Amino acid sequence: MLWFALYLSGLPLEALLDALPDPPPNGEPAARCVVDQRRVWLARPRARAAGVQPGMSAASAAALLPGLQLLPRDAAREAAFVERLALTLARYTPEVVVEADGILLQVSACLRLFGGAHSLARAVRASVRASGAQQVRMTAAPNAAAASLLARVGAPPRRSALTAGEDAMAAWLVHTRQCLDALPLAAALAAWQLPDRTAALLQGIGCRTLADARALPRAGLKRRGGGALLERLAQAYGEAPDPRPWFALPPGFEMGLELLHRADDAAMLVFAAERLVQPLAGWLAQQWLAASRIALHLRHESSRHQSLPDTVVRIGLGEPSRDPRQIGLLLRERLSRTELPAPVYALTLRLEESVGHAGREASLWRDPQQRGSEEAHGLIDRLAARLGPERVQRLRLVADHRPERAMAIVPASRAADGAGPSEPPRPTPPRPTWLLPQPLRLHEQGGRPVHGGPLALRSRAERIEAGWFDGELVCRDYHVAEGGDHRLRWVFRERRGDVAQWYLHGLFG
Amino acid sequence: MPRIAPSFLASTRVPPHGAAPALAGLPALWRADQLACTATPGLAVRSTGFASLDAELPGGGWPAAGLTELLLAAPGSGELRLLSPWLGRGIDPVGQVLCIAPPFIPYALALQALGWPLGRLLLVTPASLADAAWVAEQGLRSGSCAAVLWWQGQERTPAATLATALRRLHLAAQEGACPLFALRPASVQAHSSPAPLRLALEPAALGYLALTVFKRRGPSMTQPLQLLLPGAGCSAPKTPAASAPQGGVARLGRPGAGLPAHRTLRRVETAAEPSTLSEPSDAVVRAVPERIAA
Repeated sequence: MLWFALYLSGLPLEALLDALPDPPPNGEPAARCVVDQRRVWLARPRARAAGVQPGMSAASAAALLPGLQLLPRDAAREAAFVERLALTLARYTPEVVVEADGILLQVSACLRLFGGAHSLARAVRASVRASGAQQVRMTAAPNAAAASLLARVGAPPRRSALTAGEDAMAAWLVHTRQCLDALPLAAALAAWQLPDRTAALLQGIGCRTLADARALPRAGLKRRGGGALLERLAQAYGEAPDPRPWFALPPGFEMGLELLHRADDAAMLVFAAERLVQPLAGWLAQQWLAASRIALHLRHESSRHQSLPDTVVRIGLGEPSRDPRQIGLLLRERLSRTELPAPVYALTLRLEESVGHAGREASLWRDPQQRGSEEAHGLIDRLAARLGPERVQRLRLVADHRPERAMAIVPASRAADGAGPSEPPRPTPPRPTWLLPQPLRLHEQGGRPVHGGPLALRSRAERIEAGWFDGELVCRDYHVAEGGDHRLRWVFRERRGDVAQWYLHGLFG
Repeated sequence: MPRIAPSFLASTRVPPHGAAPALAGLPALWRADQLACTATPGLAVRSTGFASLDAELPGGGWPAAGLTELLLAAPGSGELRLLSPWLGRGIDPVGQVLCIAPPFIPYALALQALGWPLGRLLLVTPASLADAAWVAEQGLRSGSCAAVLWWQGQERTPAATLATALRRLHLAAQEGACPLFALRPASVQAHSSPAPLRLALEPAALGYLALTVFKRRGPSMTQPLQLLLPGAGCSAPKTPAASAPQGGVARLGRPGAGLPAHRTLRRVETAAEPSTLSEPSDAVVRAVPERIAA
């Protein structure tokens, strides 16, 4: 078994700041500390440099550093932060355990998929950083208790020892055990949150490391109130069972984020929205789904005079995807184009529609056709997100003899890929490459149509008579005509009515 | 500036005589009085489908990456038919062909007959020039486009802004290894542009296209090239060059300039011009679509 443990040492502060860009766009980061029950709980390095220590009263901290930001601790936000991170990491393994200030991943079953322990660790680190957790300590160990303890206390095992192969694995197990043996006992007791009485007792008899504590007679230690310690030690060394409940995914995806400051323009929301995309991608990967429609609800500040409904930004994906980069890009494009009626103070990301997506089989050579189609869908989605789906189009042929009805323009996001004409091009009478949206009525001069000068007809007439069956009859004689500027035009003479009338219908571009 | 000998075309193939004969054999060496050849670094090309045009372009074809400018007096000068042999055969067979801000509706029937990859054609009609430039950049950087065509109208944008946008797009096209064609009005010919290859298109009589390459890696062009474009179907039976199915060639005013005499165009005046309307005799269509008949 291989467990990765992540310990979020900066959690109380990061949970409060996760909706703010870091570093803030305007200059230096402010000195900040988190206050719990009027005592400093956690101080940033800038605040610590000025002498602010955890445990100090809030008033003395403020006196030490006049510009210090004191942020009240918020347990609910911390729990939400850890849950978001757990969802994000659920894309790597289904076996996730959530602790109050950390996350454990059981990864022995997914090493091969992600290319080994080292590359998996790199990927996990990148995901964690993208979710806004900066101060994270990560270790690997053969069991959950050891991994969790080593992440919290001091010297983690050498990562270079963690390589494939049976001999290397055995050597790594021995190495991990040595690391556990050498851990300072006081720090381990603090991490396990055992009563102070036990710590005082062990310190009194000269125990400094976990190895010292394990060498003590078990019966005597148990009698003197060290039962809990013995149990924790046995779990850390893998000698006792350590059952932990797996993190259960919510049945649907809906996740909110409250902003610390109100956002006046949509571009400011992009950062916060991207924080929600990572958990969405993890949730989708865990369920074997791909998002086809998501909605971002922006909650506005409501005053006594008016309460505004939420602004909803809906994004449809032409090619369902669970790639956080692709979804984030679409959100960013749409948000930067959204007008806000009022400042926003919270946002919720909701998955509205999803389809099953089992992932792709790995192959030695990827099919270029498939690659092209996937990339094209990504491009179409991006363009449609910014310009609107009606501005990104494809052409389709329609079986009709009337020139203006022989083709259709369809939104590219709805056009089935490659559903173009499969038949080889037929020899056709000349057709213009540019078609005017509406035929342009031309004057006549000496029996010849006029468009920037009289036109000379260059081809014999092509008669098109069709449409009697749906009441849109056309009776036209088409010619290729050349003007004084030598541009070739496609003109027709409408034969219905008493007087024949010339029209310009296209250009040979 | 010395007058360029009319036979400069022939001189491009022989090694340059001069002070450094040792340098003459180096394929990567490009002298300014030669056309750049494919051995020039960063110059990969695809054939245009017109042999005489290939001979005038550095390397012998349209660049496979980077910006190329086509200047048109007005839309409908033959720009789509000029590009059609290349779009039909010369580009990446998977990528999309992105058409940005076309002036009219590209007519699917004609494009299909010209061999355009209709299923991969993507039309984008942005509302502003800034959006159009953004779309072009997205397409070039995405790696999913085989070619990007961008039409510019007579915008009021300052020339300097446009040149900056084009330079940025030229870089994007080079990085993305994707050809970008900017189709611009002829009025910008005097403006500077980052495009290494610029052509002016002017329709000529009888469905020919007079084409001037006024900026290229090589000597300037003395006389416009006359190309017979496919697809209009009007003058094809009237010229001898039409025996070639596509891309027949003629060079006006320069008989015997390396081309067989029977392929030169001499009968411009003799082209029959129907003075009166002929009664429609052929190609009468009385359409009954299959679904109605069935």
